[in-house]
Amino acid sequence: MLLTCLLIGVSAVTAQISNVTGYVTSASDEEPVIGAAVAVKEVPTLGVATDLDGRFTFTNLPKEAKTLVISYMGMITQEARISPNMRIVLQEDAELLEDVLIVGYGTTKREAKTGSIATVVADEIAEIPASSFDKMLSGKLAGVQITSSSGQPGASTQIRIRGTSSINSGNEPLYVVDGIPVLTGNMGEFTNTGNAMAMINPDDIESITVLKDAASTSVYGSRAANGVILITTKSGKEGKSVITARAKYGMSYLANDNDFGVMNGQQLLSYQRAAIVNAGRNPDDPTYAYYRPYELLTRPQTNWMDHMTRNGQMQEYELNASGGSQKTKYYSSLSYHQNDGVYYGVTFNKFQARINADHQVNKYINTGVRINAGTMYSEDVPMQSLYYSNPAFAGMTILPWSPAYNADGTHTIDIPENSYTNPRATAAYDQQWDRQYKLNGNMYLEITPLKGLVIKTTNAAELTFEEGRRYWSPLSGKDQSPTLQTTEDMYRVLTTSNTITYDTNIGKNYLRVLAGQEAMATDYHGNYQYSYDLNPDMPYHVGGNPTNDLDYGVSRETMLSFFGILDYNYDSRYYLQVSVRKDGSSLFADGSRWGTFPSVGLSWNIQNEKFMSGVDAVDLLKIRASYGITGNNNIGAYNQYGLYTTVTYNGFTGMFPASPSNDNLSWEKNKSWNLGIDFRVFKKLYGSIDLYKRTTDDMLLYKGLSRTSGFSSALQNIGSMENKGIEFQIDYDAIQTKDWNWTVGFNIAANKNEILDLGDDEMLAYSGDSRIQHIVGNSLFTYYVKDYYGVNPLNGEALFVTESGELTNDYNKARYIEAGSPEPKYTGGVSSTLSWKGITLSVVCEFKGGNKIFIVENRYLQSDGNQMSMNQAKSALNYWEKPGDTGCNPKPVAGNTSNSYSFGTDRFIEKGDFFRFKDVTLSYDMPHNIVSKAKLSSARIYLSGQNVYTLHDVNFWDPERGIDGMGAGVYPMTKSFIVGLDLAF
Amino acid sequence: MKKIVICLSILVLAMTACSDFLTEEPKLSQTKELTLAKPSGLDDSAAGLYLYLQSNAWYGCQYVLNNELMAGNATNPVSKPGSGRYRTEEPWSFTESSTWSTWSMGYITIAAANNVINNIDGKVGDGYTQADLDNIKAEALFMRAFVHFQLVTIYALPYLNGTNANELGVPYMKEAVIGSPARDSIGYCYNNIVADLVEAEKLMQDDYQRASISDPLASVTKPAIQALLSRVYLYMGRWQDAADAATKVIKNNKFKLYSPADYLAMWSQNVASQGGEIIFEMYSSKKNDSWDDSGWTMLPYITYVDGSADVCATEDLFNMYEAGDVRSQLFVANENDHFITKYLGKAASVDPKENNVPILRLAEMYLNRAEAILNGARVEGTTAEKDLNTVAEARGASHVSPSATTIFDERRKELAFEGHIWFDYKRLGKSIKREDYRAQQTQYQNVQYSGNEGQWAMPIPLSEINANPNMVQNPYYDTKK
Repeated sequence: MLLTCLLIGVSAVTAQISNVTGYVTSASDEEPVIGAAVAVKEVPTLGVATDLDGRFTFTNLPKEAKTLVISYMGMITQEARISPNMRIVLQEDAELLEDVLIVGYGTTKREAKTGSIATVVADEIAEIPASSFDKMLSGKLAGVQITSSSGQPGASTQIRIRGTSSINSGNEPLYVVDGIPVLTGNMGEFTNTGNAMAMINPDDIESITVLKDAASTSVYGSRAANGVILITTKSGKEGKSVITARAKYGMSYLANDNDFGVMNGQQLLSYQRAAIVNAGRNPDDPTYAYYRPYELLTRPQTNWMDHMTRNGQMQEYELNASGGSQKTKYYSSLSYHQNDGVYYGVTFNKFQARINADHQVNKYINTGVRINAGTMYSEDVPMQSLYYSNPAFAGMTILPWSPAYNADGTHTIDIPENSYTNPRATAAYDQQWDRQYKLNGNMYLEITPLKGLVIKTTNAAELTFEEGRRYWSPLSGKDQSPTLQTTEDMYRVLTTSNTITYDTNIGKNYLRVLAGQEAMATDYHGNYQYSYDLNPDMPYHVGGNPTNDLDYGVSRETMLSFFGILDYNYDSRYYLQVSVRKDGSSLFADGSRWGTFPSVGLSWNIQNEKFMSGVDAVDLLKIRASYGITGNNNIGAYNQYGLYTTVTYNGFTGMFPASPSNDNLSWEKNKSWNLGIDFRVFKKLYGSIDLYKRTTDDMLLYKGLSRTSGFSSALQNIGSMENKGIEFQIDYDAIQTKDWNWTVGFNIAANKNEILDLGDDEMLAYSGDSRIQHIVGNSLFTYYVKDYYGVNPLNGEALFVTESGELTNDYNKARYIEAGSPEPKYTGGVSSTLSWKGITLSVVCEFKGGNKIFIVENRYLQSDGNQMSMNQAKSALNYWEKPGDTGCNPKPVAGNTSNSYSFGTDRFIEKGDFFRFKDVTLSYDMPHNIVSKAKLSSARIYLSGQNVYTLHDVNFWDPERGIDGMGAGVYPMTKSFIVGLDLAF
Repeated sequence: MKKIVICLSILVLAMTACSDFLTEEPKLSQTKELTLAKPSGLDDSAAGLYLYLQSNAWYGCQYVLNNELMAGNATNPVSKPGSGRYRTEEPWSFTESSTWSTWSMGYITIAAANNVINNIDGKVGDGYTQADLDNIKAEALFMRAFVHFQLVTIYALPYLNGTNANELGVPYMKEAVIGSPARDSIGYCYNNIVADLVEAEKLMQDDYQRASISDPLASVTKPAIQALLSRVYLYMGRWQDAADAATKVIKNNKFKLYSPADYLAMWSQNVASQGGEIIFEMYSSKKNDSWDDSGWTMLPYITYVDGSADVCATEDLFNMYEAGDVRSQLFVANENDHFITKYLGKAASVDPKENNVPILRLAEMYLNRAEAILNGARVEGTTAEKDLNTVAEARGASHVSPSATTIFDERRKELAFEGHIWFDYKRLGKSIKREDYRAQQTQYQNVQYSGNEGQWAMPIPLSEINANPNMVQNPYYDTKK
């Protein structure tokens, strides 16, 4: 392009000579604008870009050159008459930056929206040191609840938009990246950390839009019931190429703001000796099963919690380049992320590269590609449950006087109380990893045959290959046969999305019509192998091993859709949006295959009315209302068929019934109402309030069948559930001066969930844990456990409440009670960004309340003497010692069988409320005059902390334990601190 | 413009092709209709009927051990802490939410059998003759009868020579349909069990043995049908029929009682040897799809002294064996406990171990016939004394004279830990009086369970009661009363 300019410049030598220099600055910060495009209006082929100092030069301009056109992304394009020394001040395009929203199949002006939509833009995402962007949304969006199920690097997040709408069909939103729905969730087989979203580099994201109500989501039809998250990646900008290098380094350790911990040797010994005396035995009797002499303390002691953990380390490097000419623009990036967890044996890393390119073929045709490719590796140890080999659990329970090493310095497995298992040996000698290779690519072609008419086709492929390995070594477990499991999974999603849009203004009427068609095919095949009795020197599936066993999986799912959107507004005052989508899916039988998902939204921009013209304080006042239907088809393939599957018995492969048929199987339907108001006053204070109610009908539940049918249950469309709530979001630009800038934001949302109908049942066990029940009339999750009363002040025994309300020491007579729900009654966030010249301090806090969590681990850590071969939590020391003691743990009795410690009671259920300083970042943008001396266009250094401090009352590491609050044995949340440097050339 | 045309034609193509595009059939399983349409599919479906015999709920463990624990053959050891499993069976602490699990696996197998029985007629072709189809149908009929027999003996009162014929039995399913059947009477169940077995016996060729399987005696043969008939008649008190059916098996020269050495070796065989005692057995293998994921819930592990050691023999049982009785060598002592070693694992099997479990074997036929003759049946060339002592002598025990007690005791000694004893008490309406309670549960010491009382009909699982409005719970266990 530049070369072309030069050639044209040379060819114009004979014309009248005119030399021009100029300087382009930005109106807002008076800094030079680098890479602005400066073109000659009369000779469109002639153009240059501004340099690092915002300067440009033309020599030998032809005679006809009279006007320059100066443009820059995010600024209002200006025209200026040519003069020898030009100074151009570009104004920011407020509309572009603030008022355009990415919505389903297009964009809309903020003032035109009729639905409930929330956005996060690039700046708010980039520097957070998480391995995937979903973690960065915490506390930022009203009604969008982000829950971490584990603190493990690379773990996926549970996102609930306006509550939970389904029991069996999944509750995660639909993710749409650059217009194409993508696969989500953990795609690893052996590790907890195969979050597909981690493959998107957070720095590549231009904006994230969360579509919350049916008016905005129902154009995504049968997949939109849980909301839609639209991710738009960065495009190149016209102008000089900018190359940015980024580096981050950070450390992490377990979050523990309540000083939770386990006993040291001395504490445990005195506790156990007391328990033995309480059992009427002598701790110094060597013939007694629980012989606990003081001699144990003279042995070398191990702090097992410290022994299992280390400082986690994170590093990330990235190089990206972007730029372009008037016709061709590109953005590319390459990044590497490495994160070693707090527990030994936990590692996550990824390589990723992206190229986004756009090209204007001619006046009518635009085309472009979005390609993201990368590989992701995660390695971990058994977690997410109470395994002996789980370091998060064993670290708390192995006795302090058990040695950690063998005489030769290797990790010992001679730990009888931990079932001859040592998580450090597991981490060192076993293998458990997943590697994913991913390619996401799409290409679009956009034709504008006449003004207002756009025909667009986008075709995409998403490919994922997963490779996993789990190897159990004889070194890590007593009598462990060398055992290997491997997996190979392949996913391929092909999507075509085609739309025709026409928009026009007729007087005060604006009309936009869109018609579209989409088709999608998802193929999966997987292969799992298992072998044992291997030669430990050759731990692979060697040929001829008689123990080798193979499982193969293959499935295909297709979907075909047609949809239309109609936008109309009159005089920017009255807005109407109507959309309808028809989805056909291979998941359902012929007669129930097609579903229709309509929506309608209305809004009224009151500030544009004549009667508001005198009210200067009000910049925006809008009332919105919408209604729509969406669906949830998130179930496995082939559920509609009555199936026979192959079974092996007695060396022969026979056939056996696998599932009953259901010709009526269909999607869950979600009907939702939304009522909202948006406002902005004094150009400083803006916010919105939304009220919603959404009802799930035809909920897919497993209906229990009489076993005489040959099946235990059948998936059927029965049951319904309701979510209603309120969301409030407010932002305030408190200070905006030349040097100072301070904005604060606050959001809060309350959601109430109620199960209306479960078919024939009043109560249904939660598939994840039967201590949680789905009960009609309650919210989705209810802890349903026995009623623990407390300690008997007279004798230190545990007391329970019976059905008739009496107290008893007999666990078996205790009644069942509803003991709260892990669903928060309210969630929200507070944020503040304060900057002075180049220094910025930003703080994001999130809070959650009204929920309960279940610390299942305490069944072992506060076991009242039941677990004499496990270390105990420090808090167990607060036990009954003398008559009159109350509000403490029951008295410990060695070999206790009273069930006082049972995890089937409400004893270990605690309030889960917290207020978390989620992200605190201090950054410094170096002044331009310093930076330019180093030939840089910008330089930024920052210091950031994650989960810096959490206020909570829970007697455990951290209150966040997944959506069901049951995360027993999971990797607890971590705190991390990073430093980062961004340099742009 | 050309591109627009291309785009539009793609669109039109997509629309017209949509019904094909949206039809996806499973690749690794096939529809019921397709499976049952072809004789090979029916053959494979009949082979699949044995699948769940190995499940934990059935011969994998629970069906066998519940029997032994409830009726005083087995207890929880004192010398080993165990894993805490099998603690509620000994005191009969069953409720509708904690009961025998045979129900589910049983009816699932019955439904699969019905699919074969009701679709096989007229499918001659593809290399299958009418005789082939008859053999397959006979296998399915056997399985339907066998499972119903187990269900009615667990979840209903005993037949007791017809005394309880009109009491609540279990639904006798002859069709695989989603529905809410009510319980049939005990008499109806027994009549249908007999009818299915008699038809199976008629249909199956004398020498039929399923092909291409590892353990031929882990599938149904004609002697297995006759042996089961003998047992069913015995449970009904149809003595002559029981004796005649047993005679057919005893006369079949395919089977003979083992020498003491072979008897001891029998328990660790990979496949039952032909010409031995096994008539029909459960074939255990990690390759079976019904192998419990870990294997740690199966008989070998639960009863193994170095396994979880949750269940050992009672002194009541152990003390019954004389010094020279080869069967006493099947116990291993650990302190004062005696663990059964019938299920130490196949010779080559590593932990968790595989171990076949006998379902029908020849010794039972002799004892069935001895009992039948004692009760009035007549068989040419034999007496109760002769049959009883054929078994006793083969095991190296001393000669006994036949009586209800000696025959019962011989059954107890011979068939211990094979899932018979509780049913034997029950079918005879005999009270259980257990003396050996060295285990922790001293409160159950010397507890007597009087025969033919309501608590002998085990509770129907709550999941069935909830899903089936016509299902009536056994009164003794009905919480709504």
